[in-house]
Amino acid sequence: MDFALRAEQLELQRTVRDFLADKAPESAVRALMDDETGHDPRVWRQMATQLGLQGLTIDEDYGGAGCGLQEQAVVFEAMGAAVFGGPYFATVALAVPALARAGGSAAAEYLPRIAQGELIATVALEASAAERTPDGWALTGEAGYVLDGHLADLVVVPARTAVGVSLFAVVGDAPGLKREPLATVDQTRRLARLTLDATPAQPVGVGGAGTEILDHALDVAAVLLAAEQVGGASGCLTETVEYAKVREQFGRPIGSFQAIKHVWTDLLLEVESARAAAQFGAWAADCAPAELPVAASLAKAHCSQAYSRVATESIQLHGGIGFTWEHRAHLYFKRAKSSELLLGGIAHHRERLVQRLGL
Amino acid sequence: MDFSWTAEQEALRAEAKAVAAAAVARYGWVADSWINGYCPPFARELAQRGWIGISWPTEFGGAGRPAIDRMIIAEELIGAGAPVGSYWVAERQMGPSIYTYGTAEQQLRYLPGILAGEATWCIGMSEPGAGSDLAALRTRAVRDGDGFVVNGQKIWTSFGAVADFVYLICRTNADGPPHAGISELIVPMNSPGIEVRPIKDMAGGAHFCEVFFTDVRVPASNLVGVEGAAFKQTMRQLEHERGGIDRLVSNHALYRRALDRADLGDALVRQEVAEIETRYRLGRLLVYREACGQAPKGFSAATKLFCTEHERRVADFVARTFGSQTLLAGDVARGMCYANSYSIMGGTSNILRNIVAERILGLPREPAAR
Repeated sequence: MDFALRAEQLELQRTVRDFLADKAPESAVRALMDDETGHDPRVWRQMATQLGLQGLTIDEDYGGAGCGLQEQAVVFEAMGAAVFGGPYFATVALAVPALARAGGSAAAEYLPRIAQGELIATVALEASAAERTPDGWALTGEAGYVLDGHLADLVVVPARTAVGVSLFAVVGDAPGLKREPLATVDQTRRLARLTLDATPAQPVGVGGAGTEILDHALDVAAVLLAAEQVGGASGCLTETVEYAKVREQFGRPIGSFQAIKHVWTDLLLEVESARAAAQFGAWAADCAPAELPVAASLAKAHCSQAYSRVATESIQLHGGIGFTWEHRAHLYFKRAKSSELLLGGIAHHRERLVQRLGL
Repeated sequence: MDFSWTAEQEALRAEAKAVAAAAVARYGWVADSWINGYCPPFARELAQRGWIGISWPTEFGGAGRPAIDRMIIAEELIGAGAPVGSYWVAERQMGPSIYTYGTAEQQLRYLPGILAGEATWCIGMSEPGAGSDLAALRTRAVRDGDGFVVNGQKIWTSFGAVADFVYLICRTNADGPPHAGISELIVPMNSPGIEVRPIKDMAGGAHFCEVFFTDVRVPASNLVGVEGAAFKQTMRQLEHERGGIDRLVSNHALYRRALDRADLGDALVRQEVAEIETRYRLGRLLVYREACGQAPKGFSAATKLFCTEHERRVADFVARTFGSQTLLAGDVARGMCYANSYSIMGGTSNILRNIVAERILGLPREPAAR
């Protein structure tokens, strides 16, 4: 048992925090909220070339750093605290684990380009229908709520085939692919609706293995989203508590009132236990894969609840200013809510947890 | 980070599981067995295994094992309901207090009895007028020749009726601020002038007592640490009391029984089980982080708060799961009642929230009462 980050993980944490403080301060986050794509290609390239963040968990054979999920979780926790948006989560937390698990030619083709920062990728979670064509495969169907689907150079799409659900790669400018950006309430987390009409696609992984690959990728994504939620919850808690120390009413700091102390102590426990849940999940993915399914659903449910509670109470503590566009509280709140509902909500993951415990 | 167990730890856990099962077969199981499982023969058995004081330093007769080993054993014993009550308080906090602050003579005199599982200790802490506000305590120890004369009253003293010694927190100086002037004395329970009156608790049990002190003479050599400066020692002792696994698994045996008969086809029940399983696992990580010495300073108050709030949720689930059977006097009803006590003893949840808010979050103190 050891609960401390290793020296190189602390170094990574410092590096990413410094990078985000420089490249993604609140002003930059807000600028991207107003941007049509929600994406800054310049920062994206720097992340790849200066820090190697896109390739952090990608195999060294494919030009990545070959790190584990524990390192990747450190990155997402820092990003969550900064409410950093853009297609990093879709690419690194969803597409990379799916491609890596699938292996084969698609992994060899796309993972090196992701590591280089040349490729934005995502995963559609609704299945299309696949048909053989003289040249290969064509997909027809619809997928709503695809993370960063409007930007992606590559979409991994599950589709029904004769041997079961299989995964396919669809390139962003493929014929017959229609991509509609959706207006999202969390403007740091973009969604798109994709329509495929006999769109050419390349198989990813073994035919019929789609469900198994996606289940695993979604567990990994749940753990990484949990880490991001911990970062957001923790940042929101720290800022709110600091405000409670200086905001005075009735002649004393509001944080000296027990009504405030008790709520925020309970929230601190939610955040601390959420951190334990996310860290255990990342460790399980790296070191005890048999424990990952339980740990992933546990972390996703618990961290979702923790972040939403903290962000909700933060608005309440701030009073009127907390309900303004100008104040930062709504960035946390909207991110908390979009994260809570993404990849299955709290009740969904609690049910999965119980199933996975064999009950 | 590394959440794995070593082979030695796995083996120790397996052994503790077997010892717990054998104890339950022989002595029966009891919920909150660290309070209600008073069983000196089992304590002696554990002592022979070297499991009492396993994490104490070797120079004081312990095995010098990491604190986490003690926690593994405790989790298995208490989680199964094996009766550890007779030595629990002494091993958890009296021993560490004595080997940290006591004299060589005190260490030689009192530690062997604890390690042998022979001695039961109680703590004279709360008073009728000094509960959460411990610094308000009024039990006086006045210097008289080569000793002290103690007068006053303690209350909620667990094991008061069976203890061999009371570890007494008392006032040796009434002048100055409330936190100053507090000392710790070791007092044999058979000293003339001590009267013990058991208090019937809401579950019908009698594990705690009132203890009255009338002109009780205590040799000066029984003073632990520095006279008049014991408040910090007491607070340190409370850290031992708060951060342990006993706070998380008191009703674990009862929960396992409830889970066997819960309606797992009911979606609401499944959601509740998920929440309980989640908080049990996370509480465990917080406790083991304490045991590894990797929790933030003073965090044991927060760990206790998390764990005892979980215990209340478990008891509520157990009570509803057993349905009408809960209405009958018995283990289930007792578990339901006892869950109310975990979040009081060792610091009430509301007081712990104040402590955590001020020490960990750094929120401003309440303005002083006028």
